[in-house]
Amino acid sequence: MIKKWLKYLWPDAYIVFTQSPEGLNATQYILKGDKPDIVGESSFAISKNQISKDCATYIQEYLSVYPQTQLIFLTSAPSCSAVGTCNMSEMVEHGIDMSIVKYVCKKNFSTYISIMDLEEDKLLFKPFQLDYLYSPFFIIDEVRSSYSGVVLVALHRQNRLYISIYKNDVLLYADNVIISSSDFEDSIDMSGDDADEMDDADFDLDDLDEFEDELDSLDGLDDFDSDMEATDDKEGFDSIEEDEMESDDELKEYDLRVHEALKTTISQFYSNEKIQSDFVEKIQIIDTMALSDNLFELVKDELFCEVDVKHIDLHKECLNLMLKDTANAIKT
Amino acid sequence: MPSKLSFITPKRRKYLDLETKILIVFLIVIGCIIIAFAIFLSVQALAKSSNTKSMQKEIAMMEAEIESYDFEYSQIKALQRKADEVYTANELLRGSIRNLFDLIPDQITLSKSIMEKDRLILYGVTPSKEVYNFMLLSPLKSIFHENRTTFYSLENGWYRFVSVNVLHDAQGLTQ
Repeated sequence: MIKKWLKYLWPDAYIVFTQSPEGLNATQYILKGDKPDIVGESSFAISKNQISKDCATYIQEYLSVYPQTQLIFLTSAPSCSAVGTCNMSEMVEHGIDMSIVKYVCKKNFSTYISIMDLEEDKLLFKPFQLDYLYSPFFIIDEVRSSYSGVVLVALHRQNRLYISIYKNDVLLYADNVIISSSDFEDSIDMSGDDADEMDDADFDLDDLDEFEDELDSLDGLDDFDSDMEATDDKEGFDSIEEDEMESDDELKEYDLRVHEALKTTISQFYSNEKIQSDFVEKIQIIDTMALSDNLFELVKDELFCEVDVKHIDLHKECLNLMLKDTANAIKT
Repeated sequence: MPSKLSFITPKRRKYLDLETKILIVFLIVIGCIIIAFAIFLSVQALAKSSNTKSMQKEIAMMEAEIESYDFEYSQIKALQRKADEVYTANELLRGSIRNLFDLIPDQITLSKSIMEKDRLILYGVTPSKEVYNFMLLSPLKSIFHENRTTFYSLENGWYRFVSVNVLHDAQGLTQ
């Protein structure tokens, strides 16, 4: 009775945060009955690896109105990955240094994050205390459709691809891939004098270089570009249409990067000696942005797989994961 | 709320901040004081009302007492009136008797007298009938409406007499 009364006075509220190259995206929910209602959406910049003043004010105001507000964050940490075991010794065999990671186990697989990244995520919200920090691999596990064969499930976020390969619903392989770091580079606040920030930028640029080298070696990309040029010549678009085409090209280039990342991951999966690799029969793409249909066609044609696409609201799924998680934790 | 899948364990959030807690405690204290004061007032009112009731009872009792005293007073008053009347009557009677005995001359000796409301009976001895008639009968006649006298002769020559004197108006004797 008192609990109901308290819930009526102070309803459970949630702010789900995700990080993108532009900054932090936040969605606010209030739990009415058992159903969460969206209250609003906001975006905030990140300065010096900390939330901006605007974001702090926003959280503070929200907490003053709804003291039971839970802050949920879906990590974007590059160290975050998953492995198909909950056994520590087996995790060590997979090359994971258990002294520098924190892992969480779910049924038959674990997802882990380096303690440094974990602390960075926590510090990001300073002076507020983060309540829940989830791995995108749990979102994949929640959202994916059950499949009896070998299936590659890829969660696509902006410039980021989280890939899990399952066989008979058992995780075989997982990877966290940066699609394109060019946007990341642009978004970094270069006005800051912080040396650590510059180090981070250097790290990203290195990754980009490596990635671009791999992309240069792609025959498919060249073919695709030449196809596009040929199409342009045939149609004879005027200058405005050319601009639109340029943005289309950019999008397609991005799609190709996604395609390449998938291809690379599959090849890495096949070449991994620790895993009994089987042929990937199906690819499930869980898209949180708007990947073009061309990509799905390309993946289907080049990787000879059945492609299944699912569009999700990442914040909503993250909240659902949290609600399910807490409900399960209370039960047990 | 507990979590199994989060990398961090959420801490329980407080429903109220310190300022609100202080405010609520303050309000509770004020509320308690008001309630205590209200209870005190109601107890006082109850005591007063029971006091009033007992006072009303006392008043009723005293009114009844006053009534009984009034009744007693009126009775006493009546008795006093009666006593006064008796006293007056006695005074008058005493005066009458004194007057009566003043009427008796030295030669006549009274042996007995009966004084009733409307009559006076005298028994006595007189040396002669004339002494009686002149010295006693005359004043008796001036007082009583009717006089009857009977004489009995004695051996020594004197007379024993019985005089019956009647008043037609009863008030006359006492006057």
